[in-house]
Amino acid sequence: MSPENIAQNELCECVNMTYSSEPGRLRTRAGIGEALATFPARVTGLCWYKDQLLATTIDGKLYHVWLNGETEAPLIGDLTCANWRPYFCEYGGNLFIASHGVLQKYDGTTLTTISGAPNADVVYARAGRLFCSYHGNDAIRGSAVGDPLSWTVPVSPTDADPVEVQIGYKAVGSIVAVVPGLTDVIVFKEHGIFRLIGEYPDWSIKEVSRDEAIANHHCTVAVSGYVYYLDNRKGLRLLQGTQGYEEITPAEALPKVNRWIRARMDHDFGGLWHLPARNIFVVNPNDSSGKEIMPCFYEFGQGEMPALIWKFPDVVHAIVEPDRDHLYIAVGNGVYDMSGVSAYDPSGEDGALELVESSFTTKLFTGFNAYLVKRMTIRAGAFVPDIMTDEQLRVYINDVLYHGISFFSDESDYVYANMDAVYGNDNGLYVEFKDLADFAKHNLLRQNTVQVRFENKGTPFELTRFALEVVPVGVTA
Amino acid sequence: MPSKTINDASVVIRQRVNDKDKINYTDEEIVADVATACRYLSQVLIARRSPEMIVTVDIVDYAAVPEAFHSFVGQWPVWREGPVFRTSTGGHAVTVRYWSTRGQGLSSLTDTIPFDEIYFDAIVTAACMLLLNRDEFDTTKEQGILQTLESLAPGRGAAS
Repeated sequence: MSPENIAQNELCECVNMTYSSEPGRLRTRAGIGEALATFPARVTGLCWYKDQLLATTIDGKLYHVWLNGETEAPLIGDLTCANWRPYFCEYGGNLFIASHGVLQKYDGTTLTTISGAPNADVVYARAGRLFCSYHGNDAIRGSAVGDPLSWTVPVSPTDADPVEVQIGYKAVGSIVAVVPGLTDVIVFKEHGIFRLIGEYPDWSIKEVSRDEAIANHHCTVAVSGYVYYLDNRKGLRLLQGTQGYEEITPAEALPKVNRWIRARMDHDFGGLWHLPARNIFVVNPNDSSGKEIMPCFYEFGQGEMPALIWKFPDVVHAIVEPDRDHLYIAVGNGVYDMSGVSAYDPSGEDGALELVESSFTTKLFTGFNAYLVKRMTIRAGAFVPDIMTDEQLRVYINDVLYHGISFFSDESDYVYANMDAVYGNDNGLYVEFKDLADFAKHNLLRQNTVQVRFENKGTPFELTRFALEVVPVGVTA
Repeated sequence: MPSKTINDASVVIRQRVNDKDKINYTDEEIVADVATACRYLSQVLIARRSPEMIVTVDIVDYAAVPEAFHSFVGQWPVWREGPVFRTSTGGHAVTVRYWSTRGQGLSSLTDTIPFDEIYFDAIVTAACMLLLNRDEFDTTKEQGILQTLESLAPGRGAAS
């Protein structure tokens, strides 16, 4: 959307901000700090299993990432296939890993390849069985009920034996992704969508659409009954119910930001992650060079939710959310803790830590008249108040720096103009931190259009209130 | 004696028009408005027959009229013909007194305001009025202040 055509309460751009637990307040996103572990190859997947953080790399390795400060991550084993972003599913207390090769099992200590199991891209559990799909055929295969190690369909099967079902046999390409929705399993083929309705043996298959082409096997999430997916050409899409009984249909999701997603869509690298404890899902449309992801805050509505941009020092490959207080993210070759313990990103030279850089921009106000900006007040709080930095929160009107905010002020006077620290202590005396404060600015500024931009390289902050007094002047038409 | 620079006026003006950050009005605009205020004030003082505006100069026939020349003080055997003075005394110099305007050629913040400090407030007020008017503020207050300052200036009042 062009910046003049959005609403007053919308932003035309918002980078590295997020919503605080106080609903609706914008704050700087958490930093990722120093890596918990770094690997010789880029990370392809993250999983939280039995209080362990697991990471996979593009060279087909599964590692255990320590959370105790030990940065040497032990190797657990080799995946059956490299160069693939694996899919994880917990079933019966074990973790099952699909990596485009034969299905594997991890019990918390050892990784084993299940003999007789099929190749798997996507693995999910449903109705007492483990199911998997594989790009290259039309079948979804299910294990025996309760036995994820038994996959061979006998000559005369019972209802509890392994099963296999063809979805859209020979039509619209082979299966790319599968996601269990509420009552159905949604099956994405190369350019079509099917529903697998009911449970075995009362399965029925219904075609949903032949116009949709999901990008890859990591591009769909089920969010409270809705299914979101990334289409190769159309960007973010939504499967939702229609007025007809038990019908679902694909529709455009987030029309205001979809252009941003489409412009970056990449067939191989795009991804969607659902972070239910935070009420967001994250869109990563990026190719292997993009460093931006888009968190979508669905608690504010399914179709018109706020979507922001998080920008990282390197490419994001996976996110995992063990609970509300923890969040781990794979950036480049490293795994990082984004739970909020750090205000810094390794964005400097050679990965030096720097405060997270954030910015956002309001609607562009434009019309026949000019605008006279008279005053601005901002109520904001420092999130990590004891950071002493010379960087200010800078508020621009168009390109004019209107307001610079410091969250701490060094009130101490230099004694006899002596600027040297006493006994090597460089903490200022009487340093005053502002946890939450009003910052008012009163200066006249006449502009033909008005667009306010916040930029911050300093103390992470939370914005409570922002008011600007503007009067239209000089009607020229 | 003139002692204030345009920069001194600019500091006060930016406070009064609420642009301490120097983001709304450029220095050039303020210099131009202070210059306008100086020329305006000189016309006002000449109209009030304020003696400080009188300048004395020796001229001969066909001497060039100074740039700041406004009008003769009293009657002399001299007259003006376009860009030159004429006299009936030919090459013999005659001392002429004339009303001289001020404020020509002001172009920089470091220039000195060509008036005594007593007129500083009138100049600042007139410049503020111009600046506020360009942004469509109501300048009635400034006009009132300026009129009062003018009526208190030396010379004949309009009534006398």
